[in-house]
Formats: sequence, structure tokens, C-alpha cells
Amino acid sequence: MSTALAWLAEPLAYAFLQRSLAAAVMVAIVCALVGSFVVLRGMAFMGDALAHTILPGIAIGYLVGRGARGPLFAWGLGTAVVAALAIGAIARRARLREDTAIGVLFAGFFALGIALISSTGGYAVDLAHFLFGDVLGVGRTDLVRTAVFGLGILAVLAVFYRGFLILSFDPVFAATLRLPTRPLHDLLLVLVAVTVVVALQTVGIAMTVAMLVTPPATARLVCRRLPAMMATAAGFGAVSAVAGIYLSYYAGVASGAAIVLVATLLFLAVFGLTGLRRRDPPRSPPHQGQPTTRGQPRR
Amino acid sequence: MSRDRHAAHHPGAPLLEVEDLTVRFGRHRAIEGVSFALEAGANLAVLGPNGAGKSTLFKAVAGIVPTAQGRIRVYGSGPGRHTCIAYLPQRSEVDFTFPVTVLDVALMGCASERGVLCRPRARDRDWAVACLEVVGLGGLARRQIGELSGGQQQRLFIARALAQRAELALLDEPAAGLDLRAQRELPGLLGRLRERGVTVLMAGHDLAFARAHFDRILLLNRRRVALGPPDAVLTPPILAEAFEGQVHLVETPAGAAAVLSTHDDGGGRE
Repeated sequence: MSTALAWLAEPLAYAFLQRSLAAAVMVAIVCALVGSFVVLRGMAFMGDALAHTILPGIAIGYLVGRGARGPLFAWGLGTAVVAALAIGAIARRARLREDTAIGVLFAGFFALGIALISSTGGYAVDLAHFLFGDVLGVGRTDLVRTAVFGLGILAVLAVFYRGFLILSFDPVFAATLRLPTRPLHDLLLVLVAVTVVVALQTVGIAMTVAMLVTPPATARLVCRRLPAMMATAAGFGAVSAVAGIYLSYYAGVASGAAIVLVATLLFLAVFGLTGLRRRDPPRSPPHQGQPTTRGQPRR
Repeated sequence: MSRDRHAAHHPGAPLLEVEDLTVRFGRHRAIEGVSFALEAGANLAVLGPNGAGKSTLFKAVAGIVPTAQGRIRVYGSGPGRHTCIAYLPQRSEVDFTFPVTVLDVALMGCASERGVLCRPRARDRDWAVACLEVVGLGGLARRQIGELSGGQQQRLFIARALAQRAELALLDEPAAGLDLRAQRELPGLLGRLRERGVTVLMAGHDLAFARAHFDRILLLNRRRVALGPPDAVLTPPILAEAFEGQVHLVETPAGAAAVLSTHDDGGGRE
């Protein structure tokens, strides 16, 4: 018992690891809540693309600031918002399927970012940090910024929750209710973009989509209502973050990859368990009312 | 909400006027030069082969696809600001694994009054439950929507239209994907809507059903082929024109006319 406690307590002796844990948990929760709508709206590819399109912005910030880390957040944020609105506009206008338009844009932007960074000397190390995250390097300012932006994102999500819910469930119905469907969709894109930038330091560009998509996908397997799904997703995300950082500490695995691996394992475990349960014949709870036509699951 | 989200209803204007309506998708004309009018309380079935433009017509009437030519008036003004039009989706268009309960879906109807920012209040909840009870789903309010049978899912969307306080319900192939028992419930559900002052516009393939339950029929094949009472419209020459020669009328011993298609080109959705 005491060895287990010591095992758990050991990393906490380091201030930088405390900060990493706090940052990773906050990011995981925000990603899971925003990501619930990403999953329900079928925007996983869009989320991944958004994460990649911010690289040139970060690269320019990196070149302008001569390698300084401070202004990168602002550059990333600006690029993310512009990219989100541009993707929204192009997907609406182009005579292409939306995923094709996104694919073209995101590959091009990403290449531009890599080209810009590779033109400087410190290419490999810094690029790796942008791509794969550097949660162990989280400073005090980073932590405060993560908290402030995280709370901001949650506030917007809370205010527009019903709009996002109706838009995700039935966009045609949302339109006939004369809800502002386009502004709502664009707002959701911007929220995803800002979330991606907040998550950048924790898991990096390449794996942000996992934080957005995997915990909500896991939660969707077991939840019947959206609020429960969001809360469960936040829980899965936070557990993945903590377990991932411990895994990183004890096994020497890259922290971002460790977090994503734990999240993926959780998904596979829940997927396996629910899949087994589905095969059991009856899953109907006690019925109330309507004895005649109920309870014949179709298909 | 103090802001009026609804377009005004001009006194004396009919519920729906469609004049010379053309809708294009790129170069393709989905419907062309269609005109008809609908008074409140009248009921109209829109029949035609697949690709005839029935769904397009409904979406134009709901104000969610732009018109290339002609005009649509709902109570005297364009449809785009009216919240009294309920479009009931085909079942295949709905994700029934979505994490919402029956009550959640009915409550969405209340957003027409409240807008997006407001949480549902106790009054909305009571109203949504009352609407569910009208269609016999009161006891299933807490079920996830995927746990309902096909017929119950259909009834849920009718309850949502009631919760929305719709005056015009656009039912897009409501029988598609339903088993026979659920299809038998449809006339009763249409009756429930009508009792509550909702005018029903239905798109479908079932000529016999339309004949039995609708006052007027619009035969559509991208253009308006015919419009009028069932007996005037469902004649062999007119049907042959609308369905391009695929239809026979068969008199059954009971005297009711059943209508058959010689080959099934409409199997894609059902």
C-alpha cells in the first residue's frame, strides 16, 4: 500500500510535473467537452485539419520572434481562427465534397508550415515540440493561460449548448426553427480552433484530434444523453491525461503519445465491453405504458 | 424573449401559395414552374416517382433551399422567417444513435419560441410532455430515441412538430421504412395533427393511401402534372404521364382501387 502511494506521489515532488498534470487535465476536459460536438457533427477530419493548418502561423511567429516561445500562442490562435472561418467558407462555396476541400487546404498549409520552420536552424527539436507537444515544459504562464482560455471555451459552450445540440442532431430542423445555423456552425469551428491551440502544448498538432475525438467517442458508447456523454468524456480525458503522464514518467515514453495511447486503450476496452454486452439477447429495461407497439428494436 | 422571432401572418392570406416555382441545383432543375395554393385546414398529398422533386419542393416551402424563380408565400410573406412550418425528415435522414431522449427531442420544438440561448423551463417541459402524450409516447419520455420502434420514432417527430406549434407539417415519405403495423397507425396520426389545427402536406408513393386520406392530390414529376381531388387526378392517363407509363389501376373485389407499378424503381429508400 505504502509503496503504491509512494509510486503515485513520487512524480508530484517535481513542480514541473505538477504543472504538467494540471495542464494536461484541463486540456483533456476542454477537449472532451468541445470534442463531444465534433464527434456528433461528424467533424473529426475537420478538427484534425484545423490542428494542422495552424502550423504556418506558428512558424511565422517562430521566425518573427527568432525562436521565442512567448508569442507563439497568439500566432497560433490568430491562424486557427482564420483557418476555421476559411475552411467553413470554402467548404460552403467549393463544388467539391467538403472533406476534399479540407484535405487540399490542410495539406497545403501544413507543408507551408514545415517549409518555413525548416528554413531555420533549430528545425528538428522545435518542430517536434509543435507536432508532438511538450507538456513537461509547461510554465506558470502557460498554466494560467490554459485555465483562462479553457474557462472561456466552457462559458461559450454553456451559453450556446442548446443551439449546438439542435444543430448537431437535425440541421434541417434547426434551419426551420430559424436558428442562426451558419453563425452557430462557424462559432463551433472557432471553438474547435481555439481548443486546438490550447491543446497544442500538451499533445501537439499531430495528436490533438485524438483528445478531441477519442474520449467523446468512448463516452458515446455508454451514454444515452448528451450531458452524460460530455461529463463521461471529460472523465475519460482526465484519466487518460493523468495515466499518460505517469506512463511517460515511469516508462520514458513521450508524454503526448502516452496520453493518446491511454485514451485509445480506454476506447478499445469500452468498445470491447459494450460489444460483448450487445450480443446478450434482451437489453430492454422495465417498460411503462404503451403495451402494444413498443420494444421491437428494428434491424 | 421579447424579440419577435416569427414572421407576421397577414390576415386573409392563404396558408401557402406557391407560384411558378423553379429550384435548381447547379444546372439541374429539380422542379420547374410549379404552382399551387393551400388553405389552412386543407390537406394535400404530393405524389410522384423518385426524383420528381417532392423533397425539394418541401424544402423550398420550408424556406431552407433557395428558389431560382417564382415565389413562395406563407400567410402572405416569404417562408424564411416563419417558425410555423415543421419539416418531418425521412427516417433514413435521422441518426437514431444520437444521445438524446424522447423528451429531449420534443423539447427541441420549444426552441422555436425561446431561441437558442434560453434553457427550457418547467412550462416548456410540461408542454413537451403533453405533446408526447398526444402521440402516445408519454410513458417513453426517458428512452433514448434508438430504443423506439420505427412507428414510435415517426410519432416522436410528429410530437416535435406539435411542440413547435407548427401550423403546416411537411411529411416527407412518412411511410418509408415502416412495417405494416406502423403504417396502419399513420392515418390516426394525421388525424391528431389535423385535430390540432395543423395542415398536412405529405409526400409519398402510396396512391391508395393518398386517395383514402387526402382531399387533394398534386401529381409531380419535376413539373406539375395534375392537381385536384383524388378521383379526378388518379386516372390512368394522368398517372401514366406522371409515372411515365409504369402504373396500372386494379379494382379489388371490395371496390377499392389499388395501384400497382409494373416494375419497382422506387426500392432505393424503402
